[in-house]
Amino acid sequence: MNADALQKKVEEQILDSYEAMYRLAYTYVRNEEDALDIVQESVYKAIKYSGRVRQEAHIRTWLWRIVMNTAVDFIRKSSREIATDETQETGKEDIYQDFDTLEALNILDEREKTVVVLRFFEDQKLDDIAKIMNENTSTIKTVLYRSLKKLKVRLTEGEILYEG
Amino acid sequence: MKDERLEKMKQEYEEIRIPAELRQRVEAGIEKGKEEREEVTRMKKKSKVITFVKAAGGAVVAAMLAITIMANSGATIANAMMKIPVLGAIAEVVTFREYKNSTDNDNMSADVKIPEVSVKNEDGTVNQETTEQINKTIEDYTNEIIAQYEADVAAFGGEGHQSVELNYEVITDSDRLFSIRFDQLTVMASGAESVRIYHIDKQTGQMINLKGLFREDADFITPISDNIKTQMKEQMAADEGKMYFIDSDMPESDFQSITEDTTFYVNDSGKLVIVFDEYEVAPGSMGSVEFEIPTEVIQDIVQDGFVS
Repeated sequence: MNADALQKKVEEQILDSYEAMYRLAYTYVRNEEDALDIVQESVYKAIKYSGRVRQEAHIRTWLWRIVMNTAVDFIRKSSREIATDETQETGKEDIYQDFDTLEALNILDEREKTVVVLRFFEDQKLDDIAKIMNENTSTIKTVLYRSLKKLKVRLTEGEILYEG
Repeated sequence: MKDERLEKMKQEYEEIRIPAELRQRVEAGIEKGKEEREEVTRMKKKSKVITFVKAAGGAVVAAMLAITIMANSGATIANAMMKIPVLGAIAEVVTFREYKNSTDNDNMSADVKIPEVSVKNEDGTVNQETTEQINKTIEDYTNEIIAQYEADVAAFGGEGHQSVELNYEVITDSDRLFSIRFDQLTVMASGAESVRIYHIDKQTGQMINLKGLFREDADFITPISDNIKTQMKEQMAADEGKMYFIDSDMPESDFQSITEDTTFYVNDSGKLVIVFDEYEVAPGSMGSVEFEIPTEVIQDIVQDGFVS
């Protein structure tokens, strides 16, 4: 596939899944302003580097990865800014009613959070999550088990591994 | 999914409000990406060459680490040396190479140190077999790390975020045991620590795994595993911050037992220490974890000279 066609495919995939990209970004930063910045930056990178996607089938996986990396970068950068410049304003956490259960995800580290969101909220396959995270599938499975344990969620093996 | 909390979380996730502005921001990102895309395509070939040159140029850094005892360092010293009984083989790190690489944007980088070990027999001649074996083992291990890193760079075109570091240290050089430890730290979205330690039994001049510390046919797996389980439970009872994979609702992923190849070393006080990689027996927040095994637990089965 040539670069133009590939870029078009990436663009289509973005337009198809930008709301999901936003939700994932939001789970990391929990405020609209920062989540919007992360999505815009991720979209920009995805189009800019669209020539680097090897196969069409990988586009969606690749987009998740970009969002994850951009969000993690963003969090690191803003925590540094807070440390060095007290007056620097980063977006405040939005407060929503009934958010106490989704808030529970905060006991997870970034990697665990990503696995739980992708597996259960975005119905990604374990194999694809492994690709996104650049890990092998059994590691992802272990991370998933640990995360559910931390969240005190009980599921059967079938429910955990069911590839929806 | 039957778990109510997870269902509720999912529902809330789906209800995360999508700001009206999102579509505009996405379109702005697409526009900006398109403006810069051409340029990148043209630059790509150039940066590939640069990466290659870097990899080739930065690959070999050698340094002498070993202290060589000079034969002509004076008759008194030479005589004194002869009186020191040499116990078995000598193993030492003689040189190391370093693999260093980073992508143009510095988002991905690797720094892998590869030592070369020399094993000598009691009479001072080089023990070819063990020397080759340990260096081959080290090389296979470091090549695997480098290949993985290079594959990741190729797959993500420098757009990934990853740093790989491998450092080594000779942690034991007693009368009986020589151990070299490798610490691999891979930082991606979050870090992962991994430890490998290679050992040479200086009495036989052979590389050994955990089994090699014990008398033939002795069951060392049960007493050590049981002791670790006891320690896990004690630590968890004493400190709420500690968590190991034991007695959980998911017994299939609980710690069951060590193996013949479980990572170990002997610490400064002569105690056997069992090492687990991050995520192996505990959540990532615990990092890589170690258990010191009281010598009473193994004193009847361990061979002489390894622990005290």
